[in-house]
Amino acid sequence: MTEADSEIIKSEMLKAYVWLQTSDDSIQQVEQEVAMFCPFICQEIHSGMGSSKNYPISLPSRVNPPMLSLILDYCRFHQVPGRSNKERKSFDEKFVRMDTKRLCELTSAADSLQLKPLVDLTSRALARVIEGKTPEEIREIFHLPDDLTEEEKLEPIKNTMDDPRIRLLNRLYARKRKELKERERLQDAEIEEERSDERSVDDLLSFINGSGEDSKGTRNSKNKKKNRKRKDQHKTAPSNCISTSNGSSSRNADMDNKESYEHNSLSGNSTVHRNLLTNLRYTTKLQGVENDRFSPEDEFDDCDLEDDIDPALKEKIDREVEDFARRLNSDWPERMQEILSLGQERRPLQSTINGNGSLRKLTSLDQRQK
Amino acid sequence: MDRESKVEKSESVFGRLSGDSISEILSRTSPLDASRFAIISKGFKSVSGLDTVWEKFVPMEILSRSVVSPPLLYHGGTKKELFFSLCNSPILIDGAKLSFFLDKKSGKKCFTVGARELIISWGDNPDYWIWTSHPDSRFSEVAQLKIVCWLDIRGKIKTDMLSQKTNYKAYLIYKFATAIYGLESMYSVVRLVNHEADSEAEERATLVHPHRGHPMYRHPMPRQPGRLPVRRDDGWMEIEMGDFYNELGDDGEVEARLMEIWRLHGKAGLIVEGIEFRPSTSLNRRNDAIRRTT
Repeated sequence: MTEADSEIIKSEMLKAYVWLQTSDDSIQQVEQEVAMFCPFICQEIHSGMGSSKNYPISLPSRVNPPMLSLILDYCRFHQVPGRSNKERKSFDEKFVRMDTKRLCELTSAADSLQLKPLVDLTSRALARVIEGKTPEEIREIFHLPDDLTEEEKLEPIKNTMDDPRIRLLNRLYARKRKELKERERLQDAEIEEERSDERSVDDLLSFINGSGEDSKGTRNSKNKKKNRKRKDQHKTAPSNCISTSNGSSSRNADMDNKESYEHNSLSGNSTVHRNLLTNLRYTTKLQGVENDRFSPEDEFDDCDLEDDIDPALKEKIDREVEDFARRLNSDWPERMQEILSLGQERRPLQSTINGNGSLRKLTSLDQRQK
Repeated sequence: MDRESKVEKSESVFGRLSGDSISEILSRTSPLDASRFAIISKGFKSVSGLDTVWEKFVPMEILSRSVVSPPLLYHGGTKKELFFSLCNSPILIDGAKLSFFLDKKSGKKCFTVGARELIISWGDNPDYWIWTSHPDSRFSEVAQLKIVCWLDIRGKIKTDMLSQKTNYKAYLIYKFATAIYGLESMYSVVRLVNHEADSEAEERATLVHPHRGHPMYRHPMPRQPGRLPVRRDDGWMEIEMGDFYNELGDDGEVEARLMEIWRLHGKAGLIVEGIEFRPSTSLNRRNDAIRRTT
């Protein structure tokens, strides 16, 4: 025997081995220094297990032989101290190139062995798989069932944007928007409907043109009337609001006849105005309603509140919405000023575009404001 | 038989991952992905909202610098709620000199440097700039320009405070006084202080037109070559000053500068709230561009 040979035999004899048993009851012999890289195995060795075939370390059920082999490959590479960061990174990148199913299994197995660096690596790889994909794509990749109802799906999306109280408002907006669309479809057939709304729209316009404090009063009283009506007809309540919004758009159309230019410039804003008005409607509804019971809650009865909202949370949300409404109430005069100044800002600019005719008309509008 | 069991296995492998594992994975995606995860299937609705996922998206080290003591900030909500409240309402940090919020879509950090923290040439001279409080401002003081010939405003922030591997843009946040003068054209540039000298940056400065949007200037003008302002929905205007890429946050300070130091006519009527740094991909609320209204 050469000296080299005896050296090799010596080092082989000095190497310690541990015995690991996987979920299928098969037992493997693994170099101790490699296996020790896993905290779980390390702990087991310290408590005396794994030193012989008769007392193997029982690995967690999620570690089957193929996963164990992968994990050991990982450990075998990384437990060598002399490697550079670049080498390790490069190995890692190649290592995680496997199909997602195996990545999941590997994450599970590494997690049960408490091998944090490998968990980090596989989690990052899976995160990259998930990133930017639509829910349908994710379901396909991971073979997940599509078992949520439509309501359940819609709800979290809105919730991620806002507070629970605003979420309730959003829900209302969305439903109103839907009904608005339906209304617009009917609008072509029934123009009379618009006429009947003319009056309430004039109220709206005078409210916009008038001072904040006064109109607030009129709006509140008008609202209270509407609320009483609403209590009787839950289902038709939305249509009241929609009709005024539709009315406002017809009002914009009227202005169109007077000054086409102003309408053009405002058309970009008419949706903003309409939305603003719709928003105002609901916020005033809240504040008006606060004095009568909390009737928007009635409107939510027939809708898609989540099934698991418990009464305590519901009460909390109710209280928060009332707070919100109260706060809006106090901010109302300032908000009115803002909206008015927005409207006033736009008017003067048109005077430089059109000729004298429009200028005269503008001043008459301005006078009405005063 | 084998094929059946294989299909079954693949159907449930991801589903069999523990809540902890899924948290680990989700926390390495983005807030948008984590929110979307809630609608994948029944099993994941609850996991996607876990604190273990969302605390990774909330930069706690910045919260500890808030002027309001952190426990008051949290008020017992989930980390997910904390994340969204940081997106929707900025907080004041560092003795109310800076304002901080998160970009909702990407979860990246955004900062507004308040006017008092900006370096404004002649800013200390009450003949030129006055410091007042403004009801629309988040900060206790804003800088109002009386009249100046040398307009030079700089705002700096350390890149290690910003999110890594992100393209950022800087915006001047301002308003008009009733009367403005001389604000038609000026220049702006963003530079990394350690990598570029003032003179070099000045050479590549871009043209901006802050005056657009003032009632005096709302009529249509021939298309202007420089950047135009945009109205924010907190009542202020903003104009983009430039952009830069933050790789690892170890580039020292980044400086955004607005200047008109070559044409020394008088400038007046600018009210400055601060300079905001946010990712270039942020959808910052509903802004209607001034040019569209004319």
